[in-house]
Amino acid sequence: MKIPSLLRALSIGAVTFLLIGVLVFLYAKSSSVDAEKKTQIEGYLKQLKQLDAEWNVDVLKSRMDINKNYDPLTSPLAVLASLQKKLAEEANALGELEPQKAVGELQRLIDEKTDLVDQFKAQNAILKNSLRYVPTAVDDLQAEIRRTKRSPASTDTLEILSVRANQLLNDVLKYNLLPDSAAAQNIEASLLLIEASESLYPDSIAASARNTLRHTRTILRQRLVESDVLAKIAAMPMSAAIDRVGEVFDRNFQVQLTESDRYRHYLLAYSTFLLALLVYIGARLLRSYRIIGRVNKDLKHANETLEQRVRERTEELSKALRDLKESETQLVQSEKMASLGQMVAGVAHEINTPLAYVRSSLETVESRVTETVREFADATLALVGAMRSGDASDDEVAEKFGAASDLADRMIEFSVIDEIGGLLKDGVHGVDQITKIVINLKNFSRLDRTQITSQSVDACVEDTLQLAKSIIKGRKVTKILGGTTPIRCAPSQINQVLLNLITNAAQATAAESGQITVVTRMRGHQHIAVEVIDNGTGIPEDVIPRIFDPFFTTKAVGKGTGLGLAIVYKIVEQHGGRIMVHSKEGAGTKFTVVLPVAGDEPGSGTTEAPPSERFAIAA
Amino acid sequence: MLMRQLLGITGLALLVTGIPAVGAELDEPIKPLPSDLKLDARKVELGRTLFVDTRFAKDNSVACASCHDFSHGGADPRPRSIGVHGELGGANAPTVFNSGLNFRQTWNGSGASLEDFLERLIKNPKVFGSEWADVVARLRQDRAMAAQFADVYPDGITSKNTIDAIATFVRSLTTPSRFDRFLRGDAGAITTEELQGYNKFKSYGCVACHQGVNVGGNMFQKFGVMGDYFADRGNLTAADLGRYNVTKRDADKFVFKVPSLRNVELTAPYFHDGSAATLEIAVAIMFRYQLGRDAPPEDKALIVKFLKALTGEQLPRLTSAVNQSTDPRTPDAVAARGTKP
Repeated sequence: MKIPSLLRALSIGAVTFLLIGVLVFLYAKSSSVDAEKKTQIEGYLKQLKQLDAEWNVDVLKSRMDINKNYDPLTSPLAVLASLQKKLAEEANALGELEPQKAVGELQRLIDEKTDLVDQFKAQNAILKNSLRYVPTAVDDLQAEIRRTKRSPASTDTLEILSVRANQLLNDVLKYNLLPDSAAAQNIEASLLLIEASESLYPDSIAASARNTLRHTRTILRQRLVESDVLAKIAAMPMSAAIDRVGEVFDRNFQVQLTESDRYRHYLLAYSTFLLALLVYIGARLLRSYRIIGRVNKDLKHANETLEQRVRERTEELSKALRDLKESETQLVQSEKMASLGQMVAGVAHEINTPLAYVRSSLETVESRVTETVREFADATLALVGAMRSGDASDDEVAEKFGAASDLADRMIEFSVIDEIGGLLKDGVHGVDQITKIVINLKNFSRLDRTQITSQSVDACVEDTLQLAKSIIKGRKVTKILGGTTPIRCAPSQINQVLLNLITNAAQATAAESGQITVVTRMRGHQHIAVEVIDNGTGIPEDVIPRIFDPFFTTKAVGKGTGLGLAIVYKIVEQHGGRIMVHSKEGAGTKFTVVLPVAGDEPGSGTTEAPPSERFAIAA
Repeated sequence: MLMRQLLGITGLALLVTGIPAVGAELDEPIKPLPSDLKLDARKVELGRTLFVDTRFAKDNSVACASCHDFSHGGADPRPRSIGVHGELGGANAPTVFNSGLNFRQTWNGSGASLEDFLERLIKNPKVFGSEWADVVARLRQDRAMAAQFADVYPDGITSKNTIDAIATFVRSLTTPSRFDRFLRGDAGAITTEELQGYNKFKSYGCVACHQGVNVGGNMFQKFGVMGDYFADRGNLTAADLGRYNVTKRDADKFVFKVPSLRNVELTAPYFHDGSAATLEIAVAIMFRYQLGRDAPPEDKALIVKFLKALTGEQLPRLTSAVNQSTDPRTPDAVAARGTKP
């Protein structure tokens, strides 16, 4: 019982875990598109574009000498590096080849551009240096020419040099602003002309001119190099590459979005399923709760009515018990009455015998003694009357005296007085006999069960045997009374027990050969035992277990109630005693009743009013 | 009345900022050093400790400070630096001061950033010759070091954190000079001669390359634009190829990062090859090969005077002002040992 429930709990847990796991998975999948990330990447790209544009502007500013140093051209490097790194991380995080390729391409472009900018700075610095120096160099040259003008031979040459140098300066500065190949060729031609005449110049002028030419050539070269670098920078497809990265990320994002949208649909479906499941479970629970509620209500109701019903049942039971008690009492009474009825004949006979001789005694006294006494009384009265009157003769007196004396003599002679006394004594004896029988009967029939007294069982035996005289008539009855200690009991009930047992013994035996032995003895100090033994037919073995059952009888219908021994059993039980039977078919039966001396409250189990009151009349 | 108020406000600003802001910042090709670096002081201190740590070297022979001598303007007084196992380096170690402001690290710009440079420097067989794993393991054995790291970095000693600490320390090594004050508007911060020198510096074209906040350090330039320096010098070395060693592009041969001229007064010998023993020689070489011209000695002298105005008024120290250690392995001791291997 325990393991299955554990398994059940485990499986429920596992299923719940699985359901939630699927939900979490779907949720994670459906929200895998990080909109914030997308915005972030867009931000990086925007920043990159902005930075690149500013970079371009700064390059031009440097070119135009508006930026006086190259710091603005290097400051984007750190930011560019960090943006590149971030983009590369994002691309790697996606694990897709395309974004990585796009970011890689952008990175390559940025590196290339960085390199171009580095070149620009270097070339621009050289150009700037020469541009700054060329006017000074030309000035220096002019000063030198002025210093060496004294030689007339060289005057023309130097004059031309001076003019050419000024022209050169002009052309170069112009070229710097508007570089075109024609101007370049012009300048180059001037340079060649100056160079061609170099041998004609004094040494100091030649050196100065060489210096000027060197820097002018540097300007020509650097200006082209710089233009080239600037063109390359301008041609850098940075914006396109940045847009391309944006597109790739966006496409990837769209793919993710589609996928996440799909998963969102799954999630929706799954959520619906879960919801349905929950609703189902909820309904189930609700139903269960409703059932439980109903059962609870029923239980509550039952609980409420139970008490009532218990009370009713108790009432019914009490009534039944009462009825049972009543009927039991009635049964006991009727059994008693039945046994009493059986006894009545005997009792009547019993009373009849003393009654007969009381009657004969009284009749004898009446017929014989009454006449004699009346004669004597008459004679005595006549004598006394004669003696008192005085007018009667002595003869008369003597005659009367003689008659009285005769009568007295005769009375003595025939012992009339004694006879009268004897007859009266007999009569009294007879009356005593009857009285005794009546008392016995009254004792026996007393139904007042609450009347517990200390009574010797021996006395009860005596009473019962006396009462049952007619029943046991003819059987040889032996009493072996052990002088037992009086016990606490209801004597009338004990009598009933004894009467029943003795009656049974009598009925089991033939009048001529029957022997009934009643024994009383102490059993230890606490108990007494009464044995009723007969030499009768005995009880068949198969019947013995049922003899104490109510309504069990072996007698003919109408002859016995079947309650005799049941009542005996009940009475003994109520007295806290035991009854045992030993029987052998054809040999006889012995009933042994053991009763405690201290007694048990007979009828203590009932709170009913003693039924004796109701049957007092019957008693 | 209004003027007085304004003056009052300026005075207040003076008190608050501590900067002698007499006038507005000048519009010059050279820009003053940033006054607020916004660095984590704990990282700076940790980096300062690491800067003198010889455990970066495989044989514990050299520390960063061995070549970047703080008593020598943060540069190496030896023409060519000496690394692990006494390996002779290809170039003279440039100053570490203000190097955080350089757009690239090393003479040829091989270090895209300080971090990138440091990462490779430890592995460079001619510098430290170590593996990062070994370095980190060695540092981790040091409980005090581990504790100091744990204070700053939640994940303790890692190569990344070590690099970050050193880089942060290096970025802290700026050296504001009198000229910076001048650029910020304190006209009296430099002498008339220095100012004249500055004007020469500009007019002769030095400033074409040596410009910006670091007076250089923001571009590459060919060494020998107007003349073949290396042919004249002779004994061409691999290091002389400069940026070519990084890009393998012919155009980048002899191209070097334009060095910062801050503290140039202190960092002799000059150039990547340490060939110029004095500032005067260096200036002369520059005139000849870079500017392609000559200048009167008095002009060069004025330029040198100006260059000396770029020296930091307060130079960084290896020992933290708050952390004067009596440990035998003090930074100065290490630095001393490192400089004379």
